[in-house]
Amino acid sequence: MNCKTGLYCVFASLAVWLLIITVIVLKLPVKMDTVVMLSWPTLPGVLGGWVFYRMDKNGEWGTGECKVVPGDEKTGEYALNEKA
Amino acid sequence: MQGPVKWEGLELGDTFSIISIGFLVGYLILGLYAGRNTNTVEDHCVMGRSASAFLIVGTLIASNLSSVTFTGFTATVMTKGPLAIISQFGASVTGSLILGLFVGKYFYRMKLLTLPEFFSRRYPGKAASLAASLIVVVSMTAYMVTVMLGTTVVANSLFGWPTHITLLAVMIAITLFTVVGGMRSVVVTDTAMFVVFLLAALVIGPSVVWKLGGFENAISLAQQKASYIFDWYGTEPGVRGFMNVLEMNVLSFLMVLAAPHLLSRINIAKSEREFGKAMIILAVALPLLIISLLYPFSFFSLAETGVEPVSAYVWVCRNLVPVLIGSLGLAGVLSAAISTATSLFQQASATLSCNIIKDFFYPNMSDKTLLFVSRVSVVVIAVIVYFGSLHPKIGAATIMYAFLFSTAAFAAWLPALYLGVLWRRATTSGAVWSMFVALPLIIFVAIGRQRGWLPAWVPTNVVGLIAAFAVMVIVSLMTRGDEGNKIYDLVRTQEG
Repeated sequence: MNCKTGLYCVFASLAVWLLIITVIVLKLPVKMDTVVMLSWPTLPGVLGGWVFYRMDKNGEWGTGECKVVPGDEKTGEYALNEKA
Repeated sequence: MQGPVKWEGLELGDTFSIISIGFLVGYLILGLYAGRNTNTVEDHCVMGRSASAFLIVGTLIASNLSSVTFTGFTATVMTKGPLAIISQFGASVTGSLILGLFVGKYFYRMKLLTLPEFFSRRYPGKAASLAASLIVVVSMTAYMVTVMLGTTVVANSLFGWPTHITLLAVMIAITLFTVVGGMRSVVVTDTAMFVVFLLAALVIGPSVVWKLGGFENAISLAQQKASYIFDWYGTEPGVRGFMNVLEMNVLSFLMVLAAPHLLSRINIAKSEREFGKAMIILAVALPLLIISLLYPFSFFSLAETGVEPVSAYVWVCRNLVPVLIGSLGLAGVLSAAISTATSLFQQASATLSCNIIKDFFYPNMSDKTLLFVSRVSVVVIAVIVYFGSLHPKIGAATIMYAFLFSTAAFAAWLPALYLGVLWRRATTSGAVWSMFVALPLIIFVAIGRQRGWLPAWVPTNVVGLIAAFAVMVIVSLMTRGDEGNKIYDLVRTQEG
């Protein structure tokens, strides 16, 4: 598992945001509206990348498997997980 | 513009058309090749749960964006300003991150083949499952008719082919590879299409600013003639502007979190982490694509070309960039339309075969028979969509009703979906009542707004969402928990 994937996305999102600021916003006569409205699609990626990095580091991803009693998949009846 | 290309006296179209057709043929071959090893229902519906993050990003963005993004949105940013419309992709990104990092894993653990299967497991009994299945089949089929109508309009303007020929060519291509390869073909071709229109967006959009002599010149012209480009509300100030931004953001949020053709991509991932990884990559790629494409088009009217806003994108592809890049851009429009259609197609046919025919009529159907029925379902839906798209009167009516029905459906079942995995007290009665109350309410508000019974700024989806949440919570608190709670316990208590 590459634990740095989240960090790469943090930097990539920041790079896209800085690109927008330098290429578009700094040249505009009225800046605030554009900063806010273009940051809304770009900046969540920074937070998302950081959360993903922390989840990787803390091993918070599951295996994707539920504990189902054998044979129950066909009847659609599931037993309670032992940890429930 | 390039002249027409002829072959033995037959006019084939100009260079742009020939290259664009080349891309379509390439997609068909790629789709058939990708689906050559599809042998089981799990392969057909969820590509054997083997998708990498890159494939998930490609198929999600390709399915989310349609030809409307290229032709309709570019026209809207020209006439109403760019900021309000671009802001809705903030909701798309945020919704995707919530799904990928927090909630998607609970759906993934249920190993679903289709979205309605969630309802039959979490909410025991037939009512919730039947309601969800019907919503998917009808809304996806109707939605697909509207997308196909858009595709034929674009193809007509590009190639000049008659509607029925365009429709037949596109329908045969997507039916063929959906029948043969199912989800795997759809996902692989979606990803190829995503790469094509990402490249197109990165070049086509900025070419508008180059035409005006650079960004500084464009800004200087805009200050004199189109200062609304710098305002968050564009040309619609006050309450109406705010409600417009709010409604577009809520619509995008609903699409990402509850549209079956997008939400189904959770089930194809090879692991929970891979889906989360896809969503953080999407959070980088989607804003880059959208801002590169749409923001520069807000300056297009300053070029005074006399071109209609809706034709601006095609005009730029044909006149402002080299032929190969222009062809890439035009192929991108068709790719976006077709990729959305294939995703809708796949969802409708999988739900019809797995959740209606199998669950309600032939529950003991073997895996092999179900695969055959899934493929026949694709053809049945293709025939319905073909005839629905052929008649302009049916098509025009369907555009409105499909839009109303689809958004209504997404808002109506969102609380049942998410509270089902986030709130243990969610009950079957709560889910069924929230869907059956919110659905007609949203349709009523949408029609009322259109006919003037209600103010135009009332956001239909917000009303529906609030109603669905309220009913879901109140009815669930008033009724007793059921067997579905066990599913909640299973997906929430998995070992990490």
